[in-house]
Amino acid sequence: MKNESDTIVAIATPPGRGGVGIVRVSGSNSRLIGEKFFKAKSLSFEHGKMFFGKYSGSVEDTGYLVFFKSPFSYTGEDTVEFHLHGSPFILKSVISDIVESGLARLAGPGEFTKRALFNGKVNLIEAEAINTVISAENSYQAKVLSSLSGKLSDYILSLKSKLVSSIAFLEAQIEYPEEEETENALNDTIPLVEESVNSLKKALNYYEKSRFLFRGVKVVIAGNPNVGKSSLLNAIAGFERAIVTDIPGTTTDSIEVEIEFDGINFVFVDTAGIRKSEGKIEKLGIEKTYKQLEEADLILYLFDPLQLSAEKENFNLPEGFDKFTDKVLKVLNKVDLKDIPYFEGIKISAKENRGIDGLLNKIGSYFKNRDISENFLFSDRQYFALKEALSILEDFLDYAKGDFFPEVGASFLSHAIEVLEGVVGEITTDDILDSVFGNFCLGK
Amino acid sequence: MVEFDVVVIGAGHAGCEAGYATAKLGYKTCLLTINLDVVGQMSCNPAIGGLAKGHIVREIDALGGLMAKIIDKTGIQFRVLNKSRGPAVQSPRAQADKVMYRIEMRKTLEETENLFLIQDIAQEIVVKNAKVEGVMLESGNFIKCQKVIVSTGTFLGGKIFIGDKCYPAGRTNEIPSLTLADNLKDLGFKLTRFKTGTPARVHRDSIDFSKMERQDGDEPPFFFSFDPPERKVEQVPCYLTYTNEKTHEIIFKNIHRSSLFSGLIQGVGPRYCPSIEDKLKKFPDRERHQVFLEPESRFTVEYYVNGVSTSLPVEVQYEYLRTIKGLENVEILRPGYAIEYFSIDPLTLKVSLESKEIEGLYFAGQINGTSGYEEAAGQGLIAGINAALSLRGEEPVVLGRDQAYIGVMIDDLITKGVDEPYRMFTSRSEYRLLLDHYTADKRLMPIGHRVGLVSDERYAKMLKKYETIEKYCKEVLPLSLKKVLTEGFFKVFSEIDKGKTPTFEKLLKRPDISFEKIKPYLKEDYNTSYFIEVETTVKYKGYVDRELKRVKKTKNLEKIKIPENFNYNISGLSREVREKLERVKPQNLAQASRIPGVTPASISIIYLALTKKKR
Ligand SMILES: Nc1nc2c(ncn2[C@@H]2O[C@H](COP(=O)(O)OP(=O)(O)OP(=O)(O)O)[C@@H](O)[C@H]2O)c(=O)[nH]1
Ligand SMILES: [Mg+2]
Repeated sequence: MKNESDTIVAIATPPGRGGVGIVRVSGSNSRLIGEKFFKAKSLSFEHGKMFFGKYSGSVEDTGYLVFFKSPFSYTGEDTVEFHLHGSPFILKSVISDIVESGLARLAGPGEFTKRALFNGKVNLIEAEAINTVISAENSYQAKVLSSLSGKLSDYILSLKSKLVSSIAFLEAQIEYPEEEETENALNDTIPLVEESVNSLKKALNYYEKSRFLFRGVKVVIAGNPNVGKSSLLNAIAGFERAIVTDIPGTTTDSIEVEIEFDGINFVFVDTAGIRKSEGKIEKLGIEKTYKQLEEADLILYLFDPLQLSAEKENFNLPEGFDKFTDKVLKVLNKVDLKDIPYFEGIKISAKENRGIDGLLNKIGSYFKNRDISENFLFSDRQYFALKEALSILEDFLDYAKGDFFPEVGASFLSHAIEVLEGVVGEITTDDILDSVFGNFCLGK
Repeated sequence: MVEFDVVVIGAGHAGCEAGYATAKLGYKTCLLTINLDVVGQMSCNPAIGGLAKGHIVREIDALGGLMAKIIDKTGIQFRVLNKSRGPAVQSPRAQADKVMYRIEMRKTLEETENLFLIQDIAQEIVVKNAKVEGVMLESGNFIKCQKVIVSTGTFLGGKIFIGDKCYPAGRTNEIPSLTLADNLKDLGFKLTRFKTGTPARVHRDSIDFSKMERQDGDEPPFFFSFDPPERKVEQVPCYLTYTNEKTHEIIFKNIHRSSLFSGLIQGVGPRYCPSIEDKLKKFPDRERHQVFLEPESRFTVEYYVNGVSTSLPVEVQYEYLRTIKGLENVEILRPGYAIEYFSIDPLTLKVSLESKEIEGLYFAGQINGTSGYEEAAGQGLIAGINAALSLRGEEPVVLGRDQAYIGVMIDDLITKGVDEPYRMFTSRSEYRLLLDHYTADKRLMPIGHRVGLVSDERYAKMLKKYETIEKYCKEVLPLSLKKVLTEGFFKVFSEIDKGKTPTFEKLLKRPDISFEKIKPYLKEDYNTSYFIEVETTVKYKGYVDRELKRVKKTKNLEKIKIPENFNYNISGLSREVREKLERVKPQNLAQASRIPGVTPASISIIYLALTKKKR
């Protein structure tokens, strides 16, 4: 039987952790459910009050019931919470009792917050923040998130006012063609736009440095063919994820492994080797590699001591790596075969599983030591909106270099403002909801 | 008792368009005027058009209204402003012959079937069961009718101020409409006091034009109308001069005597059309302000002193005018004055310009809180069309913000309301590049034609025009410069790099190149009479697409309709927001999102509430 109830239920505390476990119910049947399953001396359902008593359904457990009256609850609807012992067995039984009673159905991911949003209890940005906080697995991540949304709004506001005044110069020129004082409008406009561009670039950069907190870290393993990239991936994974042979060019497609280390989620990506002369198929592989390199938060560039010619043992990066130098970590592999004493980077042997822990520690601290205090974005949606605004403003500057119509310039700028306004005040429609709640977890 | 289908109260720029439209669409219309000898009078400056306003006139023409036709026949100087900018912000402007304009307007109205210009004063709009029944006139006559369009301009409770003098009037020495104001209050309309002003008119022969800069019209003149008259215009110049420190000194010394600053005037004036007193107060450091001398008519000696509208006493007006270069011996024929009048709150109107509360009652023009002839005429036309459509039992015409400045204006009025007289600016449109006036015919004539104000013949001509343009764009634009232009071009425009401008299209894209400039070098086969339209397409290519994409985004919100009886009592909406929404009653989410103070978060809440059932 499909349960069509508008009342939802879920476990609100993280799974498998001890202490108190909370089952949350939200919707018009909340109170009924409380009455049906909870026995207490004077269960008056007074708003916000905790009632001590006994849960009795297919299991029995002593604990508290809390009732929040609409519209003062988290979701804005009548809400009941059962605070019981945190045993997964008890909590799961409570859920199935309630669902089987037909008075509620199991909540979908993020449905509580979604309802809070529908009922005007939180706005979209807050919902995003909640999402990020609750999907943050440890306190390190959660700590960083505090107060970001305020910072973001302030930032957008100040940027917007800068752009509005830059438009004003152009508008004066357009609307008052006969006035004398409106001539050099562009000279007044450009510096303001340039400032905005720089500030946006900084903001995006802060986020790029910090986003590993919100969506994990992508580490790309790159290097010449046969240097042992796939071997390293396997060493990190702890099993044979990628095929290893002594034939150069074995790996043609990117292969990923996810691990959690030091509280951060990592995705390691093995790529096709990079070499000078390319066959057609490999070329495709190289293009894919390049894309991975661009997206990478960190690149492990592997060297094979046997491949380095004796006289000029240099550790230069290949052509086209210039723009990645900031995020490259050089690694010397196969040190079981040959050591190069003056190589200053990390030395490992993928085959013999030597130095792998050291490498991971180094990667961990690479991220943890980052100064992320300046960042104020916390979702990709925000990031891409800012990026779009940046590209519009860059288009404007580009346009302003050539022959210039003020009304076209103004059109660029007002578009950029519109996009920025969207960051803090996007009108929530279905596609946005989907993107925000797509990766929400249950219980919130 | 007499019977009409429609009564229009006031024969100013709004009323003339409204009455013309309803009559033309087949409804017997009474156009009431306080004085039959001044119909379609230009109370203020003797010019029509200019930035954004010129756009509106072109839109009126495309929809089948009058203003463009009349000014084309009677203008005495024609100019396109902002010629050095792109087509979207160019705008036609004409100096009118005020006398001829109103004579021509009256003649046109009198020749319109079903239309009766009647001199009388509306005393009371008779309403029964929230529906219009007729209009009681001060003469004692009662007109039974189904629709009333109120377009009283500055006449509703009008009061004129000159220094410490003030007297009731709609214009100098013309009686205002007083009882109607009380009637509207009784009908539940909240009336606001607005103010506007006008400068002195001076004698031509007392002006020394030789000390001023002469401004001539364009040759050939650019007419407003899609089918302009065959007319050789003997253009009359305007003259530019400036105020100076001496002028400012006198005004400052006497500023306390201005009715504006003495506290006599309560009404709110237009920020964008300030009196000279206002200008000096606001920009005390500016050394000079522009002053234009514009002829009022070929048949009179009056000149309008544009830029120094005022409510200072007459003797001060003399004193400061005479400090201005070229006006040392000026003689004033009529002093400048300020005028206060009543307007209603446009938030009480539907997008059709009909009252939300009283069926059959429409408002147009200055009474809705706007300023300017063109703004008034645009509303008049729409109110007229919609009154007629309603009589036909059809849906009203609603012009989109991406379609017409008139659409932007009406949406602004009924969504944001006004707290000062509303003047049109191109920047009020978020899609300015789409609204160039050259292609107003393409956007709006289909509507005018469907409604019945544009003849089949005229409509077909417009379609043909755009076929020709499209063909030209497809066939000629991709050609090389050598193919299209004569040798002479390359000599004169030697700086143009042929390598970088391989095609004719690339050449036209340059802001420094216009068809007008290269016309002499265009080979015979490649000439076109629609070059400005072609140029617009080329110049804005790409940029227009960007705007269209943005339009599409709001269109999605526009599709989400809000039922008229929608209950805004949703949790999460603050009381203020709720009150605003209830007042405006937006038709869809896009309009709701434009209401000031309604945050995106509240829009999301409404959206979610509207679609909650479906989830
Ligand atoms: N002795 C030794 N051999 C290694 C080490 N790492 C990898 N190899 C060997 O080097 C060869 C290439 O290893 P892969 O991991 O396939 O190298 P790759 O970089 O992925 O090669 P491509 O995918 O072809 O680009 C295999 O024979 C590995 O066993 C190491 O640390 N020590
Ligand atoms: Mg490999």
